Amino acid sequence: MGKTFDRIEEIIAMIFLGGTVSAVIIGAVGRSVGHPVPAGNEIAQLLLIWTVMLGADLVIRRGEHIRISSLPDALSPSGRRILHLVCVACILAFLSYCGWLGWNLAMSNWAREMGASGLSYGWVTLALPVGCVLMIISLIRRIVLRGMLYAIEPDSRQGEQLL
Amino acid sequence: QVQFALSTSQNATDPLAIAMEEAATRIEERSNGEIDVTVYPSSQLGSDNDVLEQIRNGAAVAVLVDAGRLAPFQKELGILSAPYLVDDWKQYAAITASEPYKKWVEELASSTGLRLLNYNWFQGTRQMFTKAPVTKPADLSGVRVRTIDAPGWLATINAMGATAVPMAWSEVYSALQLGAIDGAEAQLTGAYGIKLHEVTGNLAFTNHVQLLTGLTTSEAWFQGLTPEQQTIISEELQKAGDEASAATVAKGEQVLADMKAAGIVVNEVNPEDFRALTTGVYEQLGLEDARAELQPFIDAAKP
Amino acid sequence: MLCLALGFMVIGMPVAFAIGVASLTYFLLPTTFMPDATAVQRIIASSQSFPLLAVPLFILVGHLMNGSGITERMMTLASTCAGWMRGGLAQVSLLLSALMGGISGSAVADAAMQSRILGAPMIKEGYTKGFTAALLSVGGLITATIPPSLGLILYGFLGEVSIGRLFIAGIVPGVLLTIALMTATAWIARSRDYKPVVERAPTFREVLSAIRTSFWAILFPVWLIVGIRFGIFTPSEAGAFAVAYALVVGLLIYRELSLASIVDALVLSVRDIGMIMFIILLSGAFGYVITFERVPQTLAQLTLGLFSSQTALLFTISVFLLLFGMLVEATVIVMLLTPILVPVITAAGIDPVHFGLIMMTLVTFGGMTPPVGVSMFTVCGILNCSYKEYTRELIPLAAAVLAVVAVMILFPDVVMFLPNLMMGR
Ligand code: NA
Ligand code: NA
Repeated sequence: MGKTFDRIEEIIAMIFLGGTVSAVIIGAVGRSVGHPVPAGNEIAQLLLIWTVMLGADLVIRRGEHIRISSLPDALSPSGRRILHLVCVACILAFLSYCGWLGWNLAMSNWAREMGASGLSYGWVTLALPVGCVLMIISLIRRIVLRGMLYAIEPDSRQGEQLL
Repeated sequence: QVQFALSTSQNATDPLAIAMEEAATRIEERSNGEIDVTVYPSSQLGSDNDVLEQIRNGAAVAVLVDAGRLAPFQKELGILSAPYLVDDWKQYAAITASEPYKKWVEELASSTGLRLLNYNWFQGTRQMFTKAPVTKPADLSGVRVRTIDAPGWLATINAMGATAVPMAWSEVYSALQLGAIDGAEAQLTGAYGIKLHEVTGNLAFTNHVQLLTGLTTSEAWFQGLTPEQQTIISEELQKAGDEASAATVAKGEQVLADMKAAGIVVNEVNPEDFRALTTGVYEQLGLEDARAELQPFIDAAKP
Repeated sequence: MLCLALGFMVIGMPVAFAIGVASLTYFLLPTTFMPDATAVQRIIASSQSFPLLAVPLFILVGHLMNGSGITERMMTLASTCAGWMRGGLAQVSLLLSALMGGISGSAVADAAMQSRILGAPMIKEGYTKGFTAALLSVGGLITATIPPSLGLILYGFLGEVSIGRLFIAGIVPGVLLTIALMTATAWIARSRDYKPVVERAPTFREVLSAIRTSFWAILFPVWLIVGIRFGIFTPSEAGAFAVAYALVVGLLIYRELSLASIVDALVLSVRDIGMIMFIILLSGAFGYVITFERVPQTLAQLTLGLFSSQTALLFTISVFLLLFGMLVEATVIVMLLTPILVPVITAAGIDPVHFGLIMMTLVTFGGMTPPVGVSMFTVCGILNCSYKEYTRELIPLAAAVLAVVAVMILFPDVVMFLPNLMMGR
């Protein structure tokens, strides 16, 4: 169940990224040949924020967000566990509050238009609360499955690190 | 003490930002330091749409916007930045004194919490800057002209015969230099600010939109002030708008002379040719009723 | 607030959240009269910028090049041209960085890719692990400087500086870096007696045939400059064309790109984007606080009184950037400091294009140094090399990099000549 959910999220994020690329290309080509697609840039930016929020969630699920681990690494596992607890508490509070504010912002300002396309800017704003909820779920899932020690750390340092 | 911020997309050396600074000083003096005003030029607080969103959340900020930004919240107000609404920008005074306008402003305040304090900040008349000379509407055919990223503006420029391209103002100079677009429509002072004459070379006085703007702030915050404070802020900002408009007109004449000296070619056009093409824009934007309501007041203001 | 953010980073909170939590705290303070929702709005608004679209696009390009056969052919060309030199494999890796630089915009992506391809062969040839790691990591700096460059796009976008000019200005420093690093490598190779890969210098015919096989890949920087120069696309759209180009070359010309490898590239890109762009988004709230408190204006007034000469000012800022860059991730520094520093140096009469190249070189290099460096972590992680050994071997290469930066500061024309020539002043 969790695996299927993860895979679906990954596929949606990939589609959004592909859409971002296509929208930029269509926008540029359209303008060069004299048939501009005014909504191209907006669609690209809309898809981008959704890609970023889903991507950030995929990374949190793997505990791979860039961090400075020198101090925690120098400590004993129990010391490390305490630092992680502080971090996780702050992150969960941050995500909850941001998610709530973002939801209000999207709902209260639905009339705001993105620009040429006439779409509601709320679709852009909505990416943040949705991302926050997904990240809260992922973080809690990680603590339950891997324990506090690996809450914000990758499972293994040996594997290839991404960018 | 009351803290209050003024936001504009214009940079600090623009007459509008200068007039805001002067108003800030006068407001602080008249209120004996009770109201502390800070001016944020160059969109430092965010794009105009972002600041409007902050204001709707109760921020003590006033932002200078054209009516197109308010149109999504109060459709009728969009008419204020519609093409060829009046012949001379001074006729806007008759509009803002009219009953229909006042009704729309109150409706906006009660339905969205946005208080339009004034609408007398003239930024200039929008003209056509192009690489190839334009003397008649047919010359705009297939010409990619940068305009503001909003449905009303796109409709206007397309109706005039050009191909409208929305683009960030900061990218316009390099896009023209590199040939990604063929022209841009702008007011004289704004155009001079990014040296548009260097990369276009031709200017046609199409006069398609009188770009007036107004300060919008939070209704909730404004109603929380004492009546004296409200009076001070309203009066001083109204006065600043008049000063800014006068300075803009003077600067417009100055920069036109500078652009001509730098070699820009001014082509003769008959704005009526373009006006005829844009009548459909009102219908397209659903502004026909609003226009009918305002027309008696506009006609009365004509000399 | 900066202290709060750094404090969170030190206790190991992910960088993105450390910045986000610290910024939100500012809005929660009773003295802040802007509503809390403004913090959230700034986070969202920082994603809604057209030039910023270049970041995800170049991340995707980096992953696509590996699957499309471009990387492999560039490797053949580099080994034909540089394999005969002393320390052949090391020289090949530097040349490869320069060649890849024409399409890729990211130092870390280049270092990671090269570590996987060249790391094991170099160690087997007898190069020390530390030298291999240091060289592959620093080579990424060449890739990041030669246009297109992710860092320069970010800098141009945040500082409102022409990205086209920044790109063209990057060509000469990129070439200089390649020469300086190859010279330093030649000197090390001589003293340690590292061997060439092939016995003799290549014949003209061999070079020609290697160029022919990698022709379409090498051609990209030419297309890029031509495309931007003739208005087919804007510099911020260049990333999308790089993606399209890598796809066309991989699918139609080399025919090596499969659906599976495209999907792999997309998955890896989505994760990288989630990691890097999330930092950028949350920095949006941070940057807002800095503007709101009018930090840039105050700082500009303070510094301008202190320095009489532009060179002295540049050297001082450079030392500061280098030290800060050693501690903090490059993207973060660019996001935090560009809006502050560009007004300062412009007020001092320095061309922001000139400064942009200096700043980007230094902070990108910071990612290759201890104590904190994403490039260093990546390469040492892949090669399983100790940070101590890495650092010792980094010193001569660092000297070469800093010499190039000093030349850039002392002779602004080295940087500014090409953009002034091609795009006017
Ligand atoms: Na590059
Ligand atoms: Na470092």
